[in-house]
Amino acid sequence: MAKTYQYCVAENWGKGFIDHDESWRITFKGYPGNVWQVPAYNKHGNLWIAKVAGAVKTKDEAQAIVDAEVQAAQAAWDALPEDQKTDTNPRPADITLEE
Amino acid sequence: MSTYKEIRGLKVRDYTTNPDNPIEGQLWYNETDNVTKYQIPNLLGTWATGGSLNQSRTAMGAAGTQTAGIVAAGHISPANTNKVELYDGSSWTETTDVNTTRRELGGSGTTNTEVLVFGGDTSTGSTGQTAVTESWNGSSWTEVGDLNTGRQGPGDTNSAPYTATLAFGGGVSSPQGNPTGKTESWNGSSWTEVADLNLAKRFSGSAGALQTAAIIAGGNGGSPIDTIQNDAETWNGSSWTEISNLNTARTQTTGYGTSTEAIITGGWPTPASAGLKTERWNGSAWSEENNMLDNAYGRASGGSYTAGLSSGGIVGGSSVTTTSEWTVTTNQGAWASGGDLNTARSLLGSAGLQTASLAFGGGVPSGTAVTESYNGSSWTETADLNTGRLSAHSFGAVYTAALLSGGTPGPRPAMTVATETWNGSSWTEVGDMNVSRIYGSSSKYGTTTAGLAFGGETAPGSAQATNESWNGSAWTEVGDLNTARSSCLGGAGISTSALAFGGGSVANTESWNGSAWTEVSDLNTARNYMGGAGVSNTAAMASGGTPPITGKTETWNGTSWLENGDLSTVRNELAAAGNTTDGIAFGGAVPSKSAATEEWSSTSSSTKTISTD
Repeated sequence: MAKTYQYCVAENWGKGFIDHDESWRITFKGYPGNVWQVPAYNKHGNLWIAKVAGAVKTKDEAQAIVDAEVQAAQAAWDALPEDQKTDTNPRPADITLEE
Repeated sequence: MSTYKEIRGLKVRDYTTNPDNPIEGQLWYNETDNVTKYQIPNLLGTWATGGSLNQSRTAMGAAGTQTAGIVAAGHISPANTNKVELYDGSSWTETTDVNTTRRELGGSGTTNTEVLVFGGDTSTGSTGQTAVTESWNGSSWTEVGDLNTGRQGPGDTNSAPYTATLAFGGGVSSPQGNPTGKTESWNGSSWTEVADLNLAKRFSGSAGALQTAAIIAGGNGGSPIDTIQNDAETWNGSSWTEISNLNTARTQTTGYGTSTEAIITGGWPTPASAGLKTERWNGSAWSEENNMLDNAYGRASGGSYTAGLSSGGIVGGSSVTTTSEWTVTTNQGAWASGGDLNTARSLLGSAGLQTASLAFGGGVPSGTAVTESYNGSSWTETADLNTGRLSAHSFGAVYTAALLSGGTPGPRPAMTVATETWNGSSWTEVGDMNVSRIYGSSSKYGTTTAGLAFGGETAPGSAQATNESWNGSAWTEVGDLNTARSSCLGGAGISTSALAFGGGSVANTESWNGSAWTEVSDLNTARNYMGGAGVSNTAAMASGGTPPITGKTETWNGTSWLENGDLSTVRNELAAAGNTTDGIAFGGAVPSKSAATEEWSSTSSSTKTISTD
């Protein structure tokens, strides 16, 4: 099955990492571990990955990075005193990347 | 923006031309071009990354603008913080701490040097609801009058002045953490209770630039208690009124803007992608806009609907340093090719609209008297000018009534003050200008009985601020431009409401109110020898120009210039006419003389071709 998205790891350096023209052309989604999702088979997505020197990951590789980050956050949450496990501080939820 | 659109229907229809008024989501096959096309709404706003916070944090108070923002206090894992950071449009700088360490507080201020923060939770478990209010003067924090009701996660008019703001909703200490509907008004020294929300809620998104006009949306409230809400209300200065619900229920969300132009973005539950959703309130309905860059809750925001700032929050269980900047581009439009001029030329005069326009004079390279009229698809030669010339002042809202004045038959130093008017079939000489010049501009939407000619030069290097007003029979000198300039600055508008922009290698824009020029926001790209068009000092466009030679197009909305689709034929010394929704550009230099015509359209939706490009 043709994939819809591609993933890369790139550190957000702030202003100019994603500019408005890029944001207008394609849809970005940022995930824990500096994982970024952009459309697959899309020249604007490819150009952006090249611009930010992103390390391209397969979906499974990206999922593993995100899982590690979320599991660390979940472990930290589990270790909190019970009075800090409030409705305003929910346990981090698992994240499933899309194909 | 919805992610998916369902396509329903039994028949596939062939089109040899595109349908006249396709609706959003419509898909069709054009058998002439052998392509499949579809209709999309023009995208209004986008998120881009801004400078990162110095510390990963969430649940801050926030205020200010996209270029002068502030976040105060909040939570930096594993504890609450009193740290404060200031944003200058590109980076955050740490500054003086607030006195009371807390999270989930409210904030208000039109800039980052005059700010009020209030309320919050001094604990990490919703047991420390506080009423403490602090005021920031740009260098230090001072404790001022407490809220009557301590609360965490209040709504706030975060763009309102720090001396006149509003706190509403939030979670209170008794019963512990329960939402309240209480609203309090701040007069610069004390809080006064006013009318309650219809639905008590906490951790809502909110916005407002005035103490008397606010909006709140989402949050926790209702029954069972703390249900995640899509409820929304607006405040008119005396009471709250229920309005349409958000499309996506969410809590720990954030907002900014005004009660009639607001953005709500981010929030929980993130598994349902609430953190990505951005919704706009336009005063009557919510619409989904482009998604946020990451799926976060607990952000802090400030700014206006057209220029917002949202920072921090929690992604995947961890707080982040991310800052996102929201910028709206309206009048998103594009150029399409039209029929070529019969005579390629530059520095020509123009009048009319996209489908009925007039081109006259210009350099081929010496001044020509040729006049051509456009019918929306092709140009036809008509009666010549009496005096052939280039780089004259010209205007005309319709192609049957135009004016041309000044310019040079070329080459210089010969210049003329002659003025001619067009009645739809011939040119007639009328009253001369007072000051002969070239490379100036005009109120392009003027008439043969009222218009302006401004700027230009009387000799090489002698840029003029001169502004002359035409009353149908004679020219009179009126208020000068603030910045003298030449090099074919851009012009738009009419005799009582005009705009002058660029020229002389500057980006300066000046707005004319009928008696004087006032400096307003600059073009994004400084340029000379451009095409200018537009109907008033609140609706104009600039296209093409140099240096370097460009196709860049910007539209003016009365406040700022917005970058739009570029000309296909990059050029300078071109002519433009029409308005910001239906414009036209023709002629120019690429650098050889050009006959190219392009038609500008800016509508609420655009046709796209399905492509793997």
